Amino acid sequence: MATELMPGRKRLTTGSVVADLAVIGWFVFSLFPIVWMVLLSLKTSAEQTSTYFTFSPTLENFGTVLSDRGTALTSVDFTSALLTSVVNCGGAVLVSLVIGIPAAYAAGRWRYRGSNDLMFTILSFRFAPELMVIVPLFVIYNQVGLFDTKVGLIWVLQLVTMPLVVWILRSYFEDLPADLEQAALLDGYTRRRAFVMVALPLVRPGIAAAALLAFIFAWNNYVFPLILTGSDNSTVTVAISKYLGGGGQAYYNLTAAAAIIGALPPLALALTIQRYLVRGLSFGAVKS
Amino acid sequence: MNDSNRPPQTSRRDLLKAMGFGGLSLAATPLLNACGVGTGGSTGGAANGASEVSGSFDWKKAKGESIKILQTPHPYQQSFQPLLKEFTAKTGIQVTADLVPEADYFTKLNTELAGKSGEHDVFMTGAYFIWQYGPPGWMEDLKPWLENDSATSQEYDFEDIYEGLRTATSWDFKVGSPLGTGGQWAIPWGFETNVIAYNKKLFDAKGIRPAETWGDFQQLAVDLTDRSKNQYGVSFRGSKSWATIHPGFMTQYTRMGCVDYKSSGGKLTAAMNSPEAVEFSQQWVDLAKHAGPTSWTTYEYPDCTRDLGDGTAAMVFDADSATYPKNKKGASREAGNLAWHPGPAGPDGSYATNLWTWSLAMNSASKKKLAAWLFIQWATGKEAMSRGVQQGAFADPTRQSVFDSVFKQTLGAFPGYLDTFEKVVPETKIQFTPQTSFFETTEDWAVALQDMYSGKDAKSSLDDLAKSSDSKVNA
Repeated sequence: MATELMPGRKRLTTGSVVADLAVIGWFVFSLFPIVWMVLLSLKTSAEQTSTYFTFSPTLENFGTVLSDRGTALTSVDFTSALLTSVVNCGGAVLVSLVIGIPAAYAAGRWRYRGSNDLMFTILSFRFAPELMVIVPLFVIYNQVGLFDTKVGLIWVLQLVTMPLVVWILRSYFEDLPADLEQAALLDGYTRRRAFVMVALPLVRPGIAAAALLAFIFAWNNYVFPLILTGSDNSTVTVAISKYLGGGGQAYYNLTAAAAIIGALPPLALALTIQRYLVRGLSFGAVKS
Repeated sequence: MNDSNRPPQTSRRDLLKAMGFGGLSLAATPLLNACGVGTGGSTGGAANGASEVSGSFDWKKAKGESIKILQTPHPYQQSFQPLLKEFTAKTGIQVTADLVPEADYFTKLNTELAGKSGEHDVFMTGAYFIWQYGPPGWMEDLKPWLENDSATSQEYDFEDIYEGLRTATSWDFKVGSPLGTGGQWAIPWGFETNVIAYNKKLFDAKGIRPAETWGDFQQLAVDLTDRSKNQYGVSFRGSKSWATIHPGFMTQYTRMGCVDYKSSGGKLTAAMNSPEAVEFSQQWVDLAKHAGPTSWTTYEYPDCTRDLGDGTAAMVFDADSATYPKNKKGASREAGNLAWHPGPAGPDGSYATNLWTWSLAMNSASKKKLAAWLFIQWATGKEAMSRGVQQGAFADPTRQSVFDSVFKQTLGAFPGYLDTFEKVVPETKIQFTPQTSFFETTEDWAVALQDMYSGKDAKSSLDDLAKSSDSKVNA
């Protein structure tokens, strides 16, 4: 029978059709804000607050955001803000990986008194309200000269990226059979070499997934760059928000165009490492 | 090294204080309305720098310096942005303007001032924020600068700025003292009166005119509401924010003879629950229900002006400067169709109007106070303000001479704008009683209106509000 030849194929029933329609409906509902953002980015200023779908589309908003006209409106060069975000977020993820991978390995391999407390302390950095710590951070950054610098932002973004990297990768290392490294040790490898040559290649999908998630969270961060940077190191999130304007003048169409451009780098990164992602995101999700 | 040039030192005590003022208030709300500060005068600020300036006045006195200013994107800021190079040419001072969107502006500003970094030398502020930033000593008193002929040009005519604005930015921070006492904490730069903007094309088509009395106004708004066509009579703010109270509501509240507090012996007594205040508040909420936007409790001024520009709302009771840009060619669907009216007079003919002023203030932790003052003086001077108005979006200028000369010439396509302004400006001032818990208590007021909107008894809501406000403002 056909169903036996194709065991993955489901029978068409009323229930499955309703379920599929519900999924499609939810899909459309979920994506509608993005569709609306794209439509908004194609509208003129006069049409930007209209709720109708008929309008004369224009790409001028994208041109404005990327040109001197956008800079004149916001005092920030959007292209520079994009590059600043790439450097900041890339740097923050790199630092988190360099420090976080050994930390996750240690946390996944060894249990000691207080190890869970330490892990929850690291996790708490991620969930502490940013506004609660921003004033002392601002004071300290000003006094040590880190205000409005890339180094300063890469440092503070560790609060966002480090807990993600450590927690995600710890579960990967926990799922990795310790016997593999034991075998390497028996063959004369040092612990460090066993880690680098045996364990690390096996968690590569996990590193890709953790790096991508950390990058996206760092990219989307708003409060830290808003408070801890000035005109020299504005990030893309701060630059986008400047189009919201004030005093009765809001550029929703330009905001939408800027947001679309701003979403491209993380999207490109996700597509680049896509082959690792499916395995990486599901790996470690189910404990044996 | 004189005091004004010495970097401010942040002690452990200062840090804790900053965390208390900044961190707690920021965590509570983006607009800092939970921030409680002490009363009774300025404390903890750096020494005033005006006395350090001597000799004859010269615009080039701080030549070679660079200053940073913190602004929010606004037609005022946009009008001045192209002129900054003229300031540099005149003074030899370089200016960097950092922009922060309005929704986050005061979060950023509060953090900076609390941190006493002096990162930005000059900043835009509203008058109400002086009541919060002044007492901790975060703002430089500009009165000594105004009075110092070595620092201020003979041509700078401070009295030319409308009186209601000069007093709005001056206070001694003592409970019960009126505005206009104490230091001059900011110089008014641009301002707005809260009046009616309406769709003249719609009114002309129906053969009607704006209402002159409060009763007629309510009826007119209801008559213009047709929910089946997604059209309603009048838009005004209703969100859970102090900003819901200050424009149309406070204007009409005052015109109806109501006050927020009564002052006696250095103590304030809340009067939002007086019989006339309860009656008016109930009418206001009923107006929102029957002739306002359907999602009134989320409405902020961009929503109101958007609905006017789209033709959804027939009228808006809000800032004239917020509706003004919507009539600019290409700015909205109804551009060219809008007109202005003072709004309903009170029973005694009162056109008392509440104002908002964007002003320029100096960070007391600035390390370049003379350069900062020269910038403030230039930006609020007659010449630069006239040039700002000529850029096309600067409504309203704070100087009478600039309004009468340059600004009037721009109002040809804005029917009723000039008449409205001239009608209300003599009675335009801050109608609130100054007090340091303004943001907290005024947000409570907005919440009370929202409670009434959802069906809670007006007297009971406002009694609760008055009770809690009494304890907060006299704490």
